[in-house]
Amino acid sequence: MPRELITVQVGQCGNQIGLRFWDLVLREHARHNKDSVFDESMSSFFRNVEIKRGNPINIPVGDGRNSLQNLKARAVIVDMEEGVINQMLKSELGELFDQKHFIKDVSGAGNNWAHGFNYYGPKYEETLMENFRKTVEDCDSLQGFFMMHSLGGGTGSGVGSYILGLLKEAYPEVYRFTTSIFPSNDDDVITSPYNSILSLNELRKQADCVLPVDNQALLNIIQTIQAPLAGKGAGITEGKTKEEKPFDKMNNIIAHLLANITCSMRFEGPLNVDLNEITMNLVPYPDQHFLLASMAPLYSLLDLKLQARGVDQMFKDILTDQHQLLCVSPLRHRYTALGLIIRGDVAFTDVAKNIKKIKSDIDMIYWNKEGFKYGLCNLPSLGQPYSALCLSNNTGVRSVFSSLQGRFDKLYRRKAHLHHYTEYIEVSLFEEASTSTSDLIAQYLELENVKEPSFIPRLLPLI
Amino acid sequence: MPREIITLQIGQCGNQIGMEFWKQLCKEHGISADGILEEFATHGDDRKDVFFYQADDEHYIPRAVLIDLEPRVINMIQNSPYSALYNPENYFHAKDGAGNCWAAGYYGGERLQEELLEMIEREADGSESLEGFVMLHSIAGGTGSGLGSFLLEVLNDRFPKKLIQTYSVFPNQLESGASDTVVQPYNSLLTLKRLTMFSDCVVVLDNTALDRIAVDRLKLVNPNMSQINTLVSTVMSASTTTLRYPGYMNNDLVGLLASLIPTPRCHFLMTGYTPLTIERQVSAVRKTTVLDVMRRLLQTKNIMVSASTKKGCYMSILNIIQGEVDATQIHKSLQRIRERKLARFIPWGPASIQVALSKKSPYVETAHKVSGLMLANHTNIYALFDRVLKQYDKLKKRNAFLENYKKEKDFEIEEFDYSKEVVEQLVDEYKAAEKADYGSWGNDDGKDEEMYK
Repeated sequence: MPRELITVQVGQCGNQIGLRFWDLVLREHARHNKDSVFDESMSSFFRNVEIKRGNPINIPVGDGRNSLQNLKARAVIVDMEEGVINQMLKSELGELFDQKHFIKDVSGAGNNWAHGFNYYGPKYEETLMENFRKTVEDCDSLQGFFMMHSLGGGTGSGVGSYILGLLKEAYPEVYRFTTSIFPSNDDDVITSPYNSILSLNELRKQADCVLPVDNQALLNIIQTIQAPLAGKGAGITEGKTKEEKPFDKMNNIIAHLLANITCSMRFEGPLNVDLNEITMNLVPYPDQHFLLASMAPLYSLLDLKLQARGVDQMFKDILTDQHQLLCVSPLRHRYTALGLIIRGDVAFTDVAKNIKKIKSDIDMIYWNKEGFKYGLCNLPSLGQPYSALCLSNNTGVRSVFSSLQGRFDKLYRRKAHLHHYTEYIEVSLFEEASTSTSDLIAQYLELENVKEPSFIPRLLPLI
Repeated sequence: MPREIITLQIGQCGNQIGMEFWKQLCKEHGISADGILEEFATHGDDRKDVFFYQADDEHYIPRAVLIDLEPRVINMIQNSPYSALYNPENYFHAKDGAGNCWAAGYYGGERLQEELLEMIEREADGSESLEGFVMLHSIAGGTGSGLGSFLLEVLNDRFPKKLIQTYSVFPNQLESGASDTVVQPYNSLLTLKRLTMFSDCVVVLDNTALDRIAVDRLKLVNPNMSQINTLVSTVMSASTTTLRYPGYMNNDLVGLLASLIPTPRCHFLMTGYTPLTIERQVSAVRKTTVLDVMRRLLQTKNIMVSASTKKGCYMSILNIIQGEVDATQIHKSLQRIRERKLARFIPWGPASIQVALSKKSPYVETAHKVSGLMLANHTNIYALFDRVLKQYDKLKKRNAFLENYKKEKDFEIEEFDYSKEVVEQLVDEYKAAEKADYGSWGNDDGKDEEMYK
């Protein structure tokens, strides 16, 4: 009866995000589900399995009162090297994953998109499809696939892109959402521009909706949260130096993003928003499915218990630069559509009032001045009485694509590192990807610059 | 003398309003949350059988069919205290939802029409002399609008002689308002065509006005959605009081509607209610005589539609007054209103306000002696449709957000153009109704020839 989601975790980054995501979802459901019954909201992400005598049998939701036996996540885990997967299995959440749904190899893709896309992809195509078939069979009414991956590396970008293509062909009606981590400017992988632009081409064609996230933005958010607290020493023992990136905390933010998007599907509220409604309302043209995400209040992201700020403040914050998950200033660009998912105890008149304010603050494209979509969910996220997630279609994403293309051009002009790629793919693919990105940027630029045509009154006929 | 009414609740909005409506009816008739008649209510002379029927074990079951394309809201109802009230065979939900897409709702309904019609026909067979259907839905979403439109067409086909009344929730469309769906112009336009062509009467509930009333008038700190829906349910139950507490006239739906709807296409009614309170809070002391109630009903701030009543004219008004009313006062109040010209009427028809007195429920405590509901047919309601057309034009010119509609195989893009034509004609008809020569509107003689003389 409920709508299930299958997460697809690809590559080191994808799997680390995945780990944090499952941790968060378990805690959220544990707090909501006091009687430990396997109710329908849990069925979106988990299967209830009875393991007797070695042969696991799925226990269906039934009337929503069966007790929890063994939870297994509805996830397909892909990585071309074993390190991260082994770590996952050894961790506390190891029990959650079904060994049969792991697809792994030993040597890794070496930060090479082509290696992932054209070598490992086809090599594991059968196993992948078999795995997907099994997970899809376990679902009653599948709503979507969630892919978590990064674009800078080899497996996440290459194999991830390949998987998207497979899913589009095999299950065309099921929505494909991705959370793609774009490399920051000082990324540690030199060939990340190549990998990202090549993946971008695929994301544009194969994904239904992409939530781009920037490592730099996540770092900024963490610093924003911690700055006022560092002085007071409010219980955060910082054992890390400034150079070491706090990946766990960053991944936690993305886990919150995913949990918030799906909260309306799992918990009740006066105005529900499904995944298909998100694409319906926020994607005007099929190519422009890159949504800018931001969340408020930020404290909830690190699970710190701090004084909740006012509702109006939350709505104001959600438009500011510091709260965005991409390094973009949304207010300086144009919005085509804006969606809000609000959790917790917020009166909808407050929402209405604030949306009116937002309308006057932002530059919304002239033909969609009332392009707002909001949803209300009763259950707040952990630790906060209310929180908001804003997903918007903003032309500012083009600046991320532009800078990525700049870095790509710098390398490509010199044909640097190209020989690693041409082992597996043709050079023409680079050209195609580059033109595709320029095209996308041009589309966004056009939307940003279009002006409302002035009203020319029709001439009246002379009688 | 039975004239039963079957209620169809469609989509999240429809089901949430419907839930409050049945709660209200149960309170008024003294029925408990699981359908058993309370001790104090066994000797009433109200007519429960219009909306309820009795099962073998004497408990009352609403004549309601609850439909949705996704399970959440119906599950919520099934887990609420009123779950034992409804007939468990009358729930219908699919799994996937319509995703705010009219086409998904409409063609989803078409695929499921066997089961839906089976439920509806079973209810129809269970009534002795069915009068008609009441449909609760919103027009901006996916299921309420799409599946609702489909059902309107099908019911018109299967039950041609039965009335179809709808309570349609229109979205918040004002420039300064907060819309909650981006594609609402598309969904609203497509639904308006069906509301115009296939329903007999549409009671317009405007979210814009309800928001305004919640914020400005109710003086509640933070009204939540269910309190607003209680407001809607008060209006709905007040509009059905003459059916449930029989008096000397207006005992069936067709009688109510006949006086309100002069021409078949102009059947969009606006409502006003006074005094506005929720949960029986005692408001500040105010006069509640008949004249006052009727005067307040004509004020813009009590009207639940955001079209201004200052422009245009009333085609007909029906006031349903409940409470301790001195019948002689009514005549005086009507005279006063005519003298002060508080309401401007159409030049081509009778210009008077109809008043129906009705009894109140003896089991519900109210703080007011007199309360009133106004159902009015006003020509300026076309302002709402105009807004929908304008927003639709803006989006359609850019072909934005059309992908999901195209994904439905049977949906033709020309459907948008047909619907636009119908709605534009409706707007023209309302505009023409304000003039004295409305009687000859639509005939080929008259205006066109004037121009070319």
